[in-house]
Amino acid sequence: MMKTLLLLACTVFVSGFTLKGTDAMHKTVLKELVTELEAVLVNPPKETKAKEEIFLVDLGKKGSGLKCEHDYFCQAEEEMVKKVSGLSGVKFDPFRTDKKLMRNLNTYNHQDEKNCKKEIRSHAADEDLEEITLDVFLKDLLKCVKNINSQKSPRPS
Amino acid sequence: MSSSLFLYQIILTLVCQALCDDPIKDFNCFNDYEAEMTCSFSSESLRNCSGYNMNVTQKLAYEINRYSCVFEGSHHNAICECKIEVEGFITEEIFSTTLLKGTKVLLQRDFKTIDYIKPKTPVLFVKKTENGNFHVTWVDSYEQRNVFTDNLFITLTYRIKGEIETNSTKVANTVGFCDIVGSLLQPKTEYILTAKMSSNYNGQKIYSDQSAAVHFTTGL
Repeated sequence: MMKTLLLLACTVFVSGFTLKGTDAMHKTVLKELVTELEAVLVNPPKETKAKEEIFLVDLGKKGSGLKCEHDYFCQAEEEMVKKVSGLSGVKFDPFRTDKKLMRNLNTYNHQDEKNCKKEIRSHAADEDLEEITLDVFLKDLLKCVKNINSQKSPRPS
Repeated sequence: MSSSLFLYQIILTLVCQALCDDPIKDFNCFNDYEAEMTCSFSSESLRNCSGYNMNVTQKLAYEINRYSCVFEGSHHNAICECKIEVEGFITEEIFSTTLLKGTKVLLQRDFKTIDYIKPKTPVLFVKKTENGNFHVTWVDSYEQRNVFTDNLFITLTYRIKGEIETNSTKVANTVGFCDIVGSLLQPKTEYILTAKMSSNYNGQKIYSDQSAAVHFTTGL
């Protein structure tokens, strides 16, 4: 009985440390995402060569608003890869898939062995999707990243 | 007889070169979380680093980057070193390394970025103030201020020149300075100050190389 209790206490102790370490890693990725998004928003690219605005799907209008859940971040990554990452021009360099913004977003989406593909497919059939400018899209994304980051912060005593 | 012995020695040397590889020790790769990853190893009977090279694969979200480099001797004895330039680091990304001698694979190892951050070596400055204290400042040598640099810590260590006993203090990089109180030091004495940096990203478990020493002398 004593051995079982000791083993249980040890497991709880170790798992506590593991969770703390995982949370710290999540926070690091989120904080870096905040830095990269803020850097891009200071001087957002507004036009392509054809002087057209860049529009992305308004992910916040799906369902009941901007929920900042895992599927939102997955869809945000997919939208950016599809509509921004491949655009030519130096101003779109921060959105390339080999740059830190997209790499961090991908890392966040795949932490804890999560997978995006299933969640994206569930929205593939949506029609009549509303669109927003890249600038607004990025601000929504930043809002969500900050929201999640504040949820993972320790509460003040 | 002597020619036979000589022949046996040649054969033995050739066989040993093929089969009796000295074990590679301490193969490790550290990154500065800015643009550089440095790998190194030592070997007991390492005479030079020629022939040793390394292939590195970095699996990004949507592509794979491949690097290679040739080892060279560092200023330390019996250590071979190799550096690659990387376009920015992400905490969870993994670098898969293959150490080769010629075309022979000696070992393969994965390095997760966050676990092998070794910050850049700081540069120290010290200035005596009017009240007899010593105002220490430093440069962390990183080009940009960001979350990473905000999570660096500097460990300042000072001792009397010629003595072994040291005093250390750890300061957050964001503070930017540390004042050593002159009245707590021995008068008319020369001190030596050095520093190392560590990162909160990996629980400060890996320190940078030690900075160049700066000297300061106390008054009466």
